[in-house]
Amino acid sequence: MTRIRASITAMMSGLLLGLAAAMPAAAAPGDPVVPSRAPEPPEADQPAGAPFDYLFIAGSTFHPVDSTTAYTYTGGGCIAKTGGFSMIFAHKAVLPQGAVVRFLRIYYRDTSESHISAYFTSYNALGTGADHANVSSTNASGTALSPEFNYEVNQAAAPINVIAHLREPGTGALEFCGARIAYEPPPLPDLIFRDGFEP
Amino acid sequence: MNKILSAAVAAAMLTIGMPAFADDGLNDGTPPSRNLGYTHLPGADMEAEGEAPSGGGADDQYLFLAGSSFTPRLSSQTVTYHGAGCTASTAAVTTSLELPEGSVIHGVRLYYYNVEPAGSVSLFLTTYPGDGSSYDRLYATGSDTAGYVSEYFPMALLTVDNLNRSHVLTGTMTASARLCGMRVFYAR
Repeated sequence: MTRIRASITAMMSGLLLGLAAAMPAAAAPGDPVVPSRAPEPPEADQPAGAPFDYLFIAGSTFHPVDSTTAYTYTGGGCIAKTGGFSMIFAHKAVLPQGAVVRFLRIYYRDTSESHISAYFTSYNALGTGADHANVSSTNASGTALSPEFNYEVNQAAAPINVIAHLREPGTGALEFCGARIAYEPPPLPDLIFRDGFEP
Repeated sequence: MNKILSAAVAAAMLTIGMPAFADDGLNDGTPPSRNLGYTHLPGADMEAEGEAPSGGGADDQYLFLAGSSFTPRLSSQTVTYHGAGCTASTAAVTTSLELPEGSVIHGVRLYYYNVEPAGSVSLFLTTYPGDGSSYDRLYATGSDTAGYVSEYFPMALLTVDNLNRSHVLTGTMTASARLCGMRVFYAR
């Protein structure tokens, strides 16, 4: 009996020693303070100094460009395509003259194998359009940001649309919740000397 | 005689040179009345006579959107245009509200047509952060039945934050009612 007790005691001691070895040692005085993980990088469309203005458009205010497209409102400002051939939804982007557009961000709920693709597009109203940026969803819910681009708004030359392609063929697993444009506002007009010096 | 002839020729030339305006969706050939006899209910966004905001601040602003510029939220709903910017639909119609960053929204004036029981037209001012959640900042229902009516609805002050949320106006109505517009009263 005494031999059994001695064996159990030895086993417990060994276990405790093993546990102690597995535990991290306390930091010695003078160790540098290391953050648990690297700090989050700032979003490219939200840099320090707030140089951008934003146009944030809910998905529910986009409309299909073809009347055969069936869609529904899924709540929270989101829409989903439910049928029809065309997958294109559009919304005008009315921005200040001279503003410089830098980023297009989209918001979505994507549990589908398909994706939402969005475009920042201008037109010459003569049959030609130009996509200046595009961004696609991933198979998750969240947000995605386009690469930085450079488009100067000229209201006299070209209308602008934000276009969303909802590729899902009708299961409703792909919800488009909105788009946000980041742009540099135009410089303030020189009103003081606009009419010249007063006599 | 020559003067009369010259005047007639001038009048004819002016007529030819004038642009032809669409009849605003009414196809019976009769130009629609531009004076719809609105009953403007008083509100903090205007004096009793219906012009200047009662606050009188130099920064007071309006954004006035016609009902016909609202789009259906479902493809299954029907939309009927009644002229004069008024729309009727079997489900919610909506439009993006785009105001300058930092503006402060005080309220919304709802323009509608209703001769049915009160409560036939409603408005929502909702913000969406993009993650599928929503926040109704203002919900109001028209209380008048006098035909064409405008009615102001104040709300808790809302500062426009275009970085973090979209702002949306939505209208709903019963079968015989019409949404003719919404006018947002805000300060810059």
